[in-house]
Amino acid sequence: MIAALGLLVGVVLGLIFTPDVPAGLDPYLPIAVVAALDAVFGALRAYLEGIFDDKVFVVSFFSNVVIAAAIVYLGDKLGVGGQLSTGVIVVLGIRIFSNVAQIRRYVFHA
Amino acid sequence: MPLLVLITQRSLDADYEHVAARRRASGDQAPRHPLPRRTAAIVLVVFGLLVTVAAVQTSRNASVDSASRADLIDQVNLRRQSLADLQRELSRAQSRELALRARLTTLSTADQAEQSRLTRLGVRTGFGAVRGPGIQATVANPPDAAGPELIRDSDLALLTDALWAAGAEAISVNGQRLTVLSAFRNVGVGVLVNSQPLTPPYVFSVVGNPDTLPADLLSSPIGDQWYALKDTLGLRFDVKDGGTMTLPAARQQPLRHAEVAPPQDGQPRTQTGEGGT
Repeated sequence: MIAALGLLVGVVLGLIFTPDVPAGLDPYLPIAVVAALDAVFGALRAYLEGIFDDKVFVVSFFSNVVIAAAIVYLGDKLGVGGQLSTGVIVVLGIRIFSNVAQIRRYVFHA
Repeated sequence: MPLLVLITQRSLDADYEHVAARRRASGDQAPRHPLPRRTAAIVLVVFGLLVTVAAVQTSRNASVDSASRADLIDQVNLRRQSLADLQRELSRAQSRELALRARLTTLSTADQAEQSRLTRLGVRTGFGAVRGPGIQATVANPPDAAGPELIRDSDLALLTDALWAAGAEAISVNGQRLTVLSAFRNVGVGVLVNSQPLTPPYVFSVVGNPDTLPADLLSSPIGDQWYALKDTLGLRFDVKDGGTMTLPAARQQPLRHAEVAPPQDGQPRTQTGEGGT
């Protein structure tokens, strides 16, 4: 309950303040969002499996975001930014899908 | 293990398993402190913020992108319009240039005709240098002549008339070209032509047919008069072939008061232009 409230507060804060993203960070924001999404779904699945841990969630969230952005940044510097971000999106997308499938199994007992 | 299968099976962060296993091993029941719950909520606040900011940024960029695209289309249309304008102007300028070129050709043809006419007039009137075959006639005072026995302006004028009558085309005396305005004048004992003093002997350089000029000079009535005068005064007169001679142009007197009259009806322009010949 408090988690859903936190999510809502974040969305409202974002809508109210609409902070400007520095132009340099602009290309890394979508990748960071996908990585954060992966961490959140992973946490939800862990919660449903009963092995959720706050510390692991916090660490995995921030490390996922930072690592995804860093990989794309490195790819940009090496001239393969497009390919690397595609790879990151594919891997994170597969993880999100399989996590969501697991969550579905727990929720609907299917 | 195939990559896709690996990714699918390890889709959950292994840390959760590790922590759960450690806790089971230590016999510790999963602690449910309120504080860590709050930490998770704070992270979710950050997550919501991140998602919203990304969405807002993307929609903002989309408006900027579409605006710049519309702007570019506008610019392309504008440039295309100005290109068409410029091309129309170019074709107008080209047709104008063609017309001007045609006029230039007409004018330069007329200019050439006028130039050649001017040259012909200059040769005729003595204000243009000429070159051609001819004779040299030398007139000198008789030895020991003095006072009234010296050559007078009328004598030289008679010889000049005789030479014109014999078919001379251009004459210069001691380097002074004779023009339609030239006159011999007595000043004291000397003779002036074109206001320049001449010193005897007087050398007439005459451009004309060197084969017929001396004979025509003898046979013409004025030539007859000249030879009679020469014999009477005892002047020395000598005619010889001058070869190819170049006669200088006479200095033109600048017109101070006269102006070109505007052409009038019934009065052809050539009448004023060639009145002096």
